[in-house]
Order: sequence, then structure tokens, then C-alpha cells
Amino acid sequence: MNMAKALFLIILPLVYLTLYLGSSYAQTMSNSTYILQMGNLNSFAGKPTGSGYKLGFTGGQTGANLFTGANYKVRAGFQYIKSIIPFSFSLSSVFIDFGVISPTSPVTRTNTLTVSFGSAHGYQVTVSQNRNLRANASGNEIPPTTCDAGTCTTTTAAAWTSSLVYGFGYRCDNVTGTDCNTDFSTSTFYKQFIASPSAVSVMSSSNVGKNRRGQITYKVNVSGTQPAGLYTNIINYIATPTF
Amino acid sequence: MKNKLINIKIFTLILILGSFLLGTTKANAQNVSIGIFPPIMQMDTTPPANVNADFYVQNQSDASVDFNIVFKPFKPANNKNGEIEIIDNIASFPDPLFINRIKVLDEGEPIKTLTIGPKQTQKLVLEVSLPPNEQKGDYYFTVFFVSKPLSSLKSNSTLASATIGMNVLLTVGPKGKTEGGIARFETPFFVNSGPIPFKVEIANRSDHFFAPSGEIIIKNMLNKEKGRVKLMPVNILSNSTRYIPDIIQANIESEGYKKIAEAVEDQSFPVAVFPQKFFLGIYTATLNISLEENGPTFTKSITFFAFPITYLLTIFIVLGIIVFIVLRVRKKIN
Repeated sequence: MNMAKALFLIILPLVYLTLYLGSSYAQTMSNSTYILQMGNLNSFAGKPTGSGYKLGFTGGQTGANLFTGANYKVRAGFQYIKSIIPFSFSLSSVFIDFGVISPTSPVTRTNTLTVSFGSAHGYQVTVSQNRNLRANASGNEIPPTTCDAGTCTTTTAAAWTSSLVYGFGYRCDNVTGTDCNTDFSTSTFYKQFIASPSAVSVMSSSNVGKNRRGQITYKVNVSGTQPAGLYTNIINYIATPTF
Repeated sequence: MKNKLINIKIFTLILILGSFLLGTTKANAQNVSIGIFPPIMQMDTTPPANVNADFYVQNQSDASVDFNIVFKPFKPANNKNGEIEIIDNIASFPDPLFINRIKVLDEGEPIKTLTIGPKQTQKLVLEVSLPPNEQKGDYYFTVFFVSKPLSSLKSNSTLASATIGMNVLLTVGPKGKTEGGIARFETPFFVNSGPIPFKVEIANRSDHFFAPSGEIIIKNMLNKEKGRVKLMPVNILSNSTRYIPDIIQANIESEGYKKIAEAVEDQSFPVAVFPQKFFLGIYTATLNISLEENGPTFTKSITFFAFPITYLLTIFIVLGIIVFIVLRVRKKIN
């Protein structure tokens, strides 16, 4: 009896582990004349029509289509780029937690921007902030950094190494490709975030590519006189393909 | 026996706990990954028209993403490489009320917000309704999908929002005359070796965008053709200029691109590249370009001089070494 109990207790976790195995999925499309099992990126297609226009569209297989009619001509995608890569944009983290910020002890955090733009000939990612880092309760703010020599702005990068220089800024480092703004070619250079709705380019490419990565480093440093509080803001990244 | 049973029970308990640990899903900082297809819509219309064009928005993240949908006009950026510059003034359109004619439809219903589940693709429709009296001209705008940031006030933090856009180039006709020309066609006068980069800048002085087609023909001093560079038919917006790359750059996976990659990436602006490496003498490059299918066409020729210093230096050094060895050997023999 005890042996059976022990066996049961051994089998139980094995069953549990088996249940944890991931499931696999497949898509099947069919009509009366075909069955298509999809194991690739060909995930959508169609030919919408209407009274004054007609548009053909296939995603995944070909890059673009051209359709004409009496009073219209529509091209979806670039005619000269045959790509199955959608224009896509990723942020590795949407929550940049600085934790407790101690005076004269700079805090840096990073996240990674990834752009795949095989179906577009080039792209641009711009960045802006909705406001300075601000404590809502008191209205106190951590101002943008002006860097060591007081020369960095929203469009000009400069060295920021001193722990006695305060504020909030960022830089971009190439991870894959060389798309980060060349203003950051020196590893100690930072810029201020520009206020929305203005925006400045942080990554861009005028060539076709995929999985271009840039690492954004956020740096914040406060003086001993900075009032205590919960400082927050929102950084907006906008990825647009070229035309 | 009792001890043995206790041991088995402890072992089993550890095994169960271990299996729970192994089975626990990996915890990641929340990411956002979004995509759109196609990246561009190019529409030529004559009102009245009611254009409906399908497009797709993807959420490749591990969690649902809430979007706001925003339309904004744009103009070409000053760097002339096809990047856009967003304009916040909607009234910049030829018809200031044009923004009201654009809608994103989800199953026939206009929407301004959207939630897409993890790893899901959402089919949407871009509707542009043009009344018979719509103001003619070009309308360039981007359809933005703005991910809503988390709301967290638990610590000093920055919240990041990701936005992705699809560009729309819309011409409301009838179109005016196509006007423009070659604004710049240059290459370094002296080259050591190839590949040769050409700076090709085309101007559009029309009231509508076009995608010119053309090529560069390279001939040597005996007027013998050495090769052709086909240009990429990129869009040039109304009253702007743009640098034109070659068509090989449309596929960076190709063998052809690998031959010119260095020359392309060395430049801070798009260039058309002739991939040949060895040149000697005077060459003529002729740019032939047609702004639209039925013209107008333009031609411009430039000359460059090539002298392969690197190759010749290598040959001289090798010859020098051979002569040196021969002389030494002769001296020893004598």
C-alpha cells in the first residue's frame, strides 16, 4: 500500500511536467478546391473591392501590389521590395525603474529598441518626453541634464561623467547595425529629451534591413537639495518607415 | 522500513517542488513589440471616390497592447533620404478639413482605439472618402498606432510608449503637369578603385508625387560600355528633392549588395553604386531618368578619372623585390 502511494507520488510530478509541455499550433485554410496548411509567414491576403476602387493585397508572400481602375490607382507597399518582413518595432521594456535615487549617485537604466523594416526602404525612430521627471504631488521636477560643460541640449550631445552634474538624459549605443544617431559615438555623451510634440531622431537607416538594435541608456542624477518625491514621466518612441 | 518510507516521501516532495520550479514560466520585464503591413499606401484618385484599403497591425508582445489611433500630416525631412517630418498642424493639407475624411474601420465600424491580444494580427481598413468637390492636390499623412503606456506610480520611473506608423501618399486629381529634373549628379573626379558611388538627386516641382525610373551608363574613353546602374524607383514628394539609390540596395541579402555594401555604408546619404573594382583611364557616366512612365526624361553626363594606385604600387613592390633578389643572386654567383 505504502509502495503504491510512493509510486503515485512519483507519477504525479511526471504527469505535471508532461502537462507543462508547450502546445504546437497550425493554421489550416481551405475551400472547395484547396487546403492550405500554413507553416510560414504567409498569414493574410485579400482583394477588397468597392464601387470606385479595387485594392489587391497579400501580406507575407509578396511585398506589394498594384491595382488600377477608372478613377483610382492604389499601390500597397513598395513595388521594388519583395519582402515578407512587416515593418515592426519593439521596446524590450516599457517600465524603466530608477528605484531610490540618492544625491550625487547617478542611476543608469537601459532598454533596447529593435526595428525590422525589410518591407520598407529605411526608417526613423524619434524620441520625446511628455514632461520632465516630475513629482506629481509637489510639482517638483528633475531638470534635463546640461552635461559636464553645460553644452548638451536636445539636439547636441556632450560628455556627462561628473557626479556633481545633475539632471536627466539619455544616449544610444549600437547593438546590431549602426543606426544610432552618430552624436553618441563617444561613450560618455548624453542628450536631453525633447518635449512632445517635438521629437528628435534617435535611430535611423536609409537602407533596407532587419533587426537593427540600439540600446538606450537613461541616466538620472540629483543634488542633495532635490526634494524627495516620486518622480515620473513618459518617453515616446515613434517608428516610421521612409516613403 | 519506516525510515525508508519517510525518505521516499521527502524525495517525492522535493521532486514535486522541483517540478513546480521547472514548470514556472519565465518572468520578463514587460516588453512591447508591434508591427504594421504594408508600411506605405500610395493612392492616385479622382474624386468622388471612396477608397477602402486593408492593412494589418500586429502585436508580437507577450501581453495585450492598447492603442490610440492618430492621423498626422507629414512632409519630407530635410536630409532628402525619404525620412518624414511630422507636422502637427492639420490645416497644412490643401483641404484643412481633410482629416475628417480619413477613418480606420474595424469590421465596418470606425475606431479611434484598439486592443490587440498577445501574438495577434488585426485586419483593419483605411477608408478615405473623397467628395466630388474635394480640393485637388497631394495629401501625405501617417496613420499612427500609439501604444498606451502602463500606469505606475510605485517608484521613480520612466514609462515608455511605442508608436508605429504607416505612411499614406494620396493624390487627389486631376494631376497637373509633371515637372522636375536632375538636381545633382556627382561622383569624385579622381578614383583609385571601385565600387564607384554616384550622388543622384532628383527634383520634383510638380503638384503630385512620382517615382522616377532611370539608370546610369558607364563608358570608357573608347566609348565602350562598361556597365549600367539601375536606379531604385523611390517616391519623390511634391516640391521636394530626394537622393536616389540603386535597385540592388532593395535586397540586402543579395550577392550584389555584398559587393557594394561598404560603399553604401560609407556615405551619410543614399548613393547609387557601380560595383566594378578595377578602373584605368577616363570614364563617362551618363544619367538617364524618366520622371514618370510617359516622361519627361532628362540626361546628364559627368566624367571621372581612374588610376589604380594601390594595384600599381603592389606591382612595383613585387617587381622591386624580384629585381632585388635577382641582383643579390647574380652578385653571389659572380
